Formats: sequence, structure tokens, C-alpha cells
Amino acid sequence: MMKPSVSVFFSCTPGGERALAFASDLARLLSSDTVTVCVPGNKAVHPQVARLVDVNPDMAQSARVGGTVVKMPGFAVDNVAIRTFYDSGHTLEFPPQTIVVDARLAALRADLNVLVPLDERGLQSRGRGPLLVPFGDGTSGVRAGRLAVALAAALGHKVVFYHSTWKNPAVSSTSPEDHMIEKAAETRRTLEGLAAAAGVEFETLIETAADVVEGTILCAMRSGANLIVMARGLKTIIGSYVDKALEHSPVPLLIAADERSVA
Amino acid sequence: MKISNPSSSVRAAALNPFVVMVVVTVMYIVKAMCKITMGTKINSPMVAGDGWHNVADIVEALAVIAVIFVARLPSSKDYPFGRKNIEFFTKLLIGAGLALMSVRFAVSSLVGLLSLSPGVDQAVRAVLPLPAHEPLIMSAGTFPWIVGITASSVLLSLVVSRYQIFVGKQSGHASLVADGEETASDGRIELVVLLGVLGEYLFHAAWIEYPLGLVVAFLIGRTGVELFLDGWRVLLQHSIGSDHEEAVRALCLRTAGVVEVSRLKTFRVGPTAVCMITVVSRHNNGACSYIKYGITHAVKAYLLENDFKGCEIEIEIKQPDAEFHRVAFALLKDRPGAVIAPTLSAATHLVICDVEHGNVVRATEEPQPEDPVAMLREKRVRSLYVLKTDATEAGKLKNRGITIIAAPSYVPAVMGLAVPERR
Repeated sequence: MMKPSVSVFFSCTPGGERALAFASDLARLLSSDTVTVCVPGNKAVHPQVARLVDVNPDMAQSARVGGTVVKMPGFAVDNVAIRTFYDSGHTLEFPPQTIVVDARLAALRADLNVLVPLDERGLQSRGRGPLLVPFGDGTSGVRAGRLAVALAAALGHKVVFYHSTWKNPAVSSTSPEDHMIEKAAETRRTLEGLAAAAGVEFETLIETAADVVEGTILCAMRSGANLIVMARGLKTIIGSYVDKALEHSPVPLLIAADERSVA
Repeated sequence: MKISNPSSSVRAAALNPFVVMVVVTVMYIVKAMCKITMGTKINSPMVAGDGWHNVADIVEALAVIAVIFVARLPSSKDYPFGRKNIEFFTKLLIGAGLALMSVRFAVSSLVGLLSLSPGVDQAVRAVLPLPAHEPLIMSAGTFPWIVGITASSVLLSLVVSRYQIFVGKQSGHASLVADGEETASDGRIELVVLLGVLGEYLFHAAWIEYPLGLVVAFLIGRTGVELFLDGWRVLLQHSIGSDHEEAVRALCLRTAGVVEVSRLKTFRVGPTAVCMITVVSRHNNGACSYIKYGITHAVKAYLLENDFKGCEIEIEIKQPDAEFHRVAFALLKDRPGAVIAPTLSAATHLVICDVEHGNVVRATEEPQPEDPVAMLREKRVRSLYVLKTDATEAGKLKNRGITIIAAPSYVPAVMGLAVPERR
């Protein structure tokens, strides 16, 4: 199981600073001494700018950004690898196991593992809590679960698998588990198997919450979760749970890539 | 009190505060009848006097029953927090009563000690008006009665007080706990009397009662003061305590989305803790309801684990101060794709930006004016971003109250100046 690496897009804004702090904290927790910081460049740089810096403007910019980043409050690793990109960052390629810390990419790149830190400056900045993985009857839960288990194994965190089921009127039992459909139960077994195989401590919570995202966020708040790990449903065309969670959750979200696996 | 394997209905009855107080009342009736009857029969003012003290305890037990009845009335429009505070009046009164009782007991123990040394006793009485010493009068005939009555009274008091305190804490009735403490204090005094009786009979050392009496007086006094202060604090809406407040503050800060706790006010209504919390968060309304839920869940669990029987938590969320100010960017726009200009003098345009919460929320672009410093001053700009600070320019701007800042990147969007493209 490969350990995830961490990349972040540089932005000199409060949100950008929080993303840098979160990315460096995550890299430190993963025992990595380097964070890759992506900075846009311009091949046709203005001659006045070129004259000013005497050397390659992008090299000069890298040095300045690197110097700025390590001095930022909360930046937790020693090394910064600056990666200059010239096209839109929306097409930038990353190695499969990379976690990209960025708020905007979550809506733009389904092929990346994107971590949205929201207003948090570090994974454990409020204490140590579990990683929460909501699952349903589709494959998205398993994709999220794979990423969460890999991350939990690397960080030594517990994982909480969460499922919200609708009541089956034909079932009289008051136990939510008895109302799960077989596909969801199968997903549960797969997730628990993944965690067990990786030696990751886990817990599964089944509820009959009225709203899936609401139930997920309430569960995250109750359990003091550090991160909610989700994946976009491949068949969903309207009403993505991920988008709704991004809009409402105070807990940072990690959105698992569509096509790739970190495991 | 441990009750072994009771059926659920018997257990429920045993844990009912009214049942407990009926048991206590019956105990005091039996004690009073035995002590007054036997005390009169054996001509022992000590035993008979203690019996009359138990009559007063019966009245107190009936008063506690009335207080519990009132405290259990449901909350209403006029009493939104219920009437639980009435129990703390009882606590206040019982606390004061115990404190006075401890003083009386300490004085009678001191008088007993002084009686052992008549010279010192006379000297002290010359200065202080002390009550007369009443020596233990006991014969071989009265000894078994006094021991029997006092020993059973001690046992009853200690067992019933434990029962009262246990049920009082379980049910959240402060008056039951306070009455239990009072019963326990009675038991301690009776125990000291018993030790004095036994000391006299076995070793001819009745004096043993007096130093022990002083120790017990101290313990009773301490309990009395604690009960009094507890009642006082609740009635005057004292905070739930700095330790609890610190814990509540820490739990708020552990909740995702909370930047700081700007206000925390707490007080108690009966056994209920009331917390009024204002936290600062940068999140929008959608997330705020979850932040409130998270705080409520954590704080409630903490309070219920720490002696409180209920809690009322009011949470207000406010945005941090926007710290509104203006900054400017010196731009080069003479070719496609704007870049941040090396210096102010090299700029073709100036972008004046309104900043809230550290983010650019509005920006206007102006061609480089003849006197850019005057324009920046007029626009109340606080800082100017260029690519490289020039000492001469920096000096000029500083004289006008504007700081020059070297931008780490020449790309405006990276600096938070993301201009949407127009068709």
C-alpha cells in the first residue's frame, strides 16, 4: 500500500494560507519532509519582469514563493518543492497516490484526490479524531473507503464507516441494520474487510437519518471526525452528495478520485 | 445504598425521592419516640433531649417533601427553567443550621474538656460566658438502654443518610442530598456520644468524647459551610465554576469551524447548568447549524458526566471582524496577460482593492495617473503590492502612510486578484 504524497496550489490569500498549513501538516503526519507547491508561470513573461530578476523569472518566482511559504505561520515541513505550471492548473497531472489540497479543484477535477481544508489549518489541529467514510449501495463508498483506509493506515487513525438507510416498511425491526438493502450490506462487508486487512481500527454506524449528507455531517460532528472521505457517485448527474457536503460541512473533506486508486 | 436484585417496580419505588423521605420521616418518628420515652424513663436528659431534636428533624423531613414536590412541577411559561431553585433555599438553610449545630457541639465539647481541669475552667469562664457542663449521668441499670438506643440510632442515621444522598444525586434533588448530609451529621454526633458512654463504662474515661467531639464539630461545620455556599452560589446565579468553564471553552475550540469563543456565560438553575456561548466562525449559515450541533453534543455530554442533571445551551455564532481596508496592485498591462509590475513607476495600471476578511471583494482598475502616490493616498490605500521594493519609492509611500510589499508571485491571480474574463 503506497503512502500518499501531498501537493498544494500556492495562493497568497487567507484560504491559500490555510491550504498550505493543512498540506504541510498532513505531509508531516505522513512523515514526509516535502510538500509540492504548485505555482503558475508565464512562458512569455514580460521583458520588464525578466530584466528585474536577471535570471529565469520562474526560477526567481520559485525562490520567492519558497521563501514566503516556509515563513508562513503553521507551515510544518522543512522542504518545499516548487512546481511551476504554464497551462491551466485544471489540467495538471499528479502521481496517482497524490492528495491535492485545494478548495477550487474539488469542483473541477474528478480525476484527483482533492482535500478541501475548509477553515481548518491541520488534520489534527483540534485533536485526534477518526476519518469518516459514508457509504451507500454504489461503488463510490468503496473508492472513498480505499483512500481512507490507506490514509488511516499511514496516520494510525481510526475509520468510521457510516451508512444512512431508508426504513423498509415491510420490516418491523427497529434496528437500522435490518433495513439496509443487500447491496449496501455488501459494501459494508467490503469496507470492513479493507480496514481489517490493513490493520486499521474501524467502527460501522448505521442510521435511518432523513438526509444522507445531514446524517453524515452530524455523525462527523458527534464523533469529532478529523476528515470526511467521500467519492462522487459515477451515475449521479444532479444532487451530488459531495457538492452538498462541500457546501455545508465544517469538517474538512477528502474527495477520492474517480478512476484511480491509492491502494 | 446497594439494593441487590430488586424487581424493576421495587427498584423504582426505592429510588423515588418521596419514598426516601417517607422512610426518613418514619426513622425520625421511631427515634424520637424511643429516645423521649426511654430518656424520661431512665431519667436521662441527654437521651430525651436528643429525642426532641429528632422531633425537629421530622418537621424538616416534611418540609423537604414539600420542597421536592414543588421542585418537580414542570416548567411553564412563567417558570421557563422550572422551580428547581427552591431546593437550594433548603440547602442554604440546612447548611446554615449545620454550621450553627457544629458551633454548639464544639462549645459543649470544649466545656467538657475544660471541666477536666477546674482551675483552667474557672479562668476561662471569667473571660468567656460558657454554658454549664452537663456530665454524663449513668448507672449500671441505664447503661444497656443508653448504648442500645444510641448504637441503633447511629446505625440508622448512617445507613439512611447514605440512601438519601445516593437517591438525591441520582434524581438531582439537592434538598434530599442536603438532608442526607444533615442525617449523616446527626449520626456522627451520636457516634461520639456512644464512644463517650463506652469510654466511661469500660475505662472510666468519659473525656474521650470531648476531643472526638471537636473533630466531629469541625467535619459538620465544613459540611454546613459547603452546603450553604452551594445554595448561595446557585441562588445568586454564580457561574458553574472556572474549571467547568475552561472545559466548555476547550470543547468549543475542539469543534471544527470554531475560530474563537468570544463570550461564555454560565450559571446553574437547580441541578441544571445553563451555558450561553458566542463563538466566532468564518463558515456560512449552512455549516453553522452543524457547528452548533457539534458544540451542543460535546458540552452536554461533558456536563452530564460532571454532576449536572441537565443542561440548557444557547449558542450564537458570529462572523469575525471583516477588517475592512484597501490595498493596491501595480500592474503591467501593455501586453496580453497582466503581470504585477516590478515597481510603482513601471506600472501601466493601478488596481485598487477592497479587502474583507483578508480577501479581495471588489477591485477597480485605473490607468497609471500622473501622481500615483496622491491617488493611492486619496483612495485610502494601506498597502501597495509590487514585485520588488524600491527604496526611494518605499520612502515616498511610507511618508504618506502606505506600506510597500514585495509580492512573491508576478501572477495577479495568485495574489488573490482573480479577474473573471469577459466576452
